Amino acid sequence: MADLQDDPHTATAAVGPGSLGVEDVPAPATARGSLERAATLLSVHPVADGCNTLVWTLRQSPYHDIDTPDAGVDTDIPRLRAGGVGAQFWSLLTPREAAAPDQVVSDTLEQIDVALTLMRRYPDSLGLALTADDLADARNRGRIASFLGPVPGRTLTDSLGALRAFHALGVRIVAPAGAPWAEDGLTAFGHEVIKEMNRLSMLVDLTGCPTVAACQLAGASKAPVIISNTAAAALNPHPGNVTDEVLLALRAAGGLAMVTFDTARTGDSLHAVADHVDHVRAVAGPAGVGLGAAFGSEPGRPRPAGLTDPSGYPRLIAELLDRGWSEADLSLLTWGNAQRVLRDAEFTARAAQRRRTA
Amino acid sequence: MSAARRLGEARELLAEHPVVDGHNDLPWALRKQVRYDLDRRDIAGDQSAYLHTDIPRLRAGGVGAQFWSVYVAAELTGDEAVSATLEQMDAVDQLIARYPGDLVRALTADDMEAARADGRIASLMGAEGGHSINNSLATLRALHRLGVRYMTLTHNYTIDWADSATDEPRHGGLTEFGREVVREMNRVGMLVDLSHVAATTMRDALAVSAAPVIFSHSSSLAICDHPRNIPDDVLELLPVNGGVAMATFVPKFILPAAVAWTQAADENLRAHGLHHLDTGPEAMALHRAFEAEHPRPVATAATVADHLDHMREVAGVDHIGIGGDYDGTAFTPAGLDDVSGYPNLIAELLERGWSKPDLAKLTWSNAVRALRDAEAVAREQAASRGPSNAVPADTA
Repeated sequence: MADLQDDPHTATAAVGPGSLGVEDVPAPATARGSLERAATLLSVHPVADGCNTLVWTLRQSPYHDIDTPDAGVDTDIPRLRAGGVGAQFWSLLTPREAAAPDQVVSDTLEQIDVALTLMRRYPDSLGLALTADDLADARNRGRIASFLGPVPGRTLTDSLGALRAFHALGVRIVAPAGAPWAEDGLTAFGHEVIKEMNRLSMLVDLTGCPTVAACQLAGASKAPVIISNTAAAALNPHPGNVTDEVLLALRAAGGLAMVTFDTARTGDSLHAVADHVDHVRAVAGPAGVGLGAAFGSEPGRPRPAGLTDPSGYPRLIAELLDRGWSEADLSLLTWGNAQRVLRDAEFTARAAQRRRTA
Repeated sequence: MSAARRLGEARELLAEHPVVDGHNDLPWALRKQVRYDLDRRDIAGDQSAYLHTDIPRLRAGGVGAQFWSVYVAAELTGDEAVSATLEQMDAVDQLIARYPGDLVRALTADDMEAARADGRIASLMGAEGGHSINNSLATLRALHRLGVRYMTLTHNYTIDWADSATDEPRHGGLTEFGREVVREMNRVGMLVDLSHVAATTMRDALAVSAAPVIFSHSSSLAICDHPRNIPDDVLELLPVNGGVAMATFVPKFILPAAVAWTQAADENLRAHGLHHLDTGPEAMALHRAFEAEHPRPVATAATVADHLDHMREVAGVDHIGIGGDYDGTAFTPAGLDDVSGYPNLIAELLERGWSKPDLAKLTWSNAVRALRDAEAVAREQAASRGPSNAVPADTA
């Protein structure tokens, strides 16, 4: 499979969007040289992060102004910039109990509305991204490319019309976990959903799917699938973590597992997170590992030390440099793999559209 | 002037000032008949065996713009109503994509004019009933983003925030949230449609709306006493509001004799376990059988013209239009049997002495003006107000 990521730029400028504020960060465990190299690397290959739940948090308490440092929530634009974030998948999932059973579609439309309002409110920092080209374009313009999704698969009952409406509104990722058509094996309608997602170039996010369902979905999708936030079950058998079996399926299918920064799933230190990243790379391959921290909550959620908000990415990259990761592999981890998956999905869609119509 | 010559004149007039029709239920008919299998109802050719609407007949009828109704059954609530509405909108998208030489998506008054200049039928969408937004203003905005340009506040049933004309009133018009829905529609630029709503709701909405309202398919209560029609005191408010009342052709709303007959026929359908608005093959067969025993009073183009004469008298010539409700009604007036019939109505009005400039307002320019004015109000309001996230009081 062709790797379509942009040619790596020659890293000459040490100052970029990702280097802001990094010097102020105390990093006793890591050599200053590594942190500088991490910042340089991120200025060229910023983080394309797979999961942030800020939209839901803002719906609960819309009073945060993320344009300035905001202590009431872990995500704001200064810290995204400091962390070298160049692209963000904004999760539109809501807690299952939040909406009445017959309000899930409306609830998702509310989430989309809040996300679009967020884009409009901070146009100089966030740019709605619909394609892999938008991803590169936003980086070049100094904006954080913002992808909408995932939306919950359970919003799709017997309706591809709703799926196409979500797509028309800008959504690019759907998470089948918990959907009646994916829960106990993919139903005929479930196959139809996946085909239509392939046709529309929407990514399948396997987060939360049990191993059997995840492997089945990865096999059914013609385009690479992602797991937008997870960690290795081999290191920590948390139910939200991905098994090696699924990681191998991802490796075979060109998919991407994005590692979360969540004490419950990864352990409570930066080193523990790095261990998970190492393990996912070892099993899924360098082309199958990414980052999906799942920030976007209010204070109180346990986070690994050193990775408590989005400004922490450079420290993780420095740690991986110290562990001997090549810059090529790191550029895949932060940016290249996400870009490739988006491009592959678009390629699949173009091919599918010649065969299938709505 | 001979009838043939009048018809020729009507066609000439429509070639330049085509019909903007306020309401056509083709999407629902496609859903019910073939679950949107557009191969089985290829409207590029004659579909008169199944539908009132296809492209050749739209062309013959001089239709230049169509508000396609994305109606969903008023029995649907919650997500089911929203999902079904999204499916209806998706079907309109598919029709537009499938017939690009004849249909073109229109989101603005400019798009309507461009379509007319281009010889294509401007295709707009109207949602029929507040149940489609499931008490969510974000859902309303999503519908607008996806192309819906009017919403009828209710369908046949009273909803949480607005009374319907054909159900028990619960609110005495609009609730406070209902008024906020109207304000949000003004802000985003979606026309408020007052067909189907109770007269109290009409008056409440007219009091709140800063933008022109429409009646996408309603006629005159003074001419035919049916709750789906518009009372004169409401028609009199339209000049100040700038809105447009689009006369409908549905015989059971516009012909007094048909009102009584329909009550009996509806009862017959319900006795067979069908909804009285069903236009599927089974319902049509039942209707035909009923009709064989009870001759149906027949409306004509003259019946519609009687309404338009009165509406012009009361609301003024700048505030009337046409909303046939084709494929949303089992029966149609003689001469207005399907979407090819509009020239017969125009010929009838020419016969009654309507001037060509007045007819051009009726068919085309009043509706385009209403949408353009709603766009202007939206621009003005969006500059001073952000999106509303109000919820009905009992769920706040």
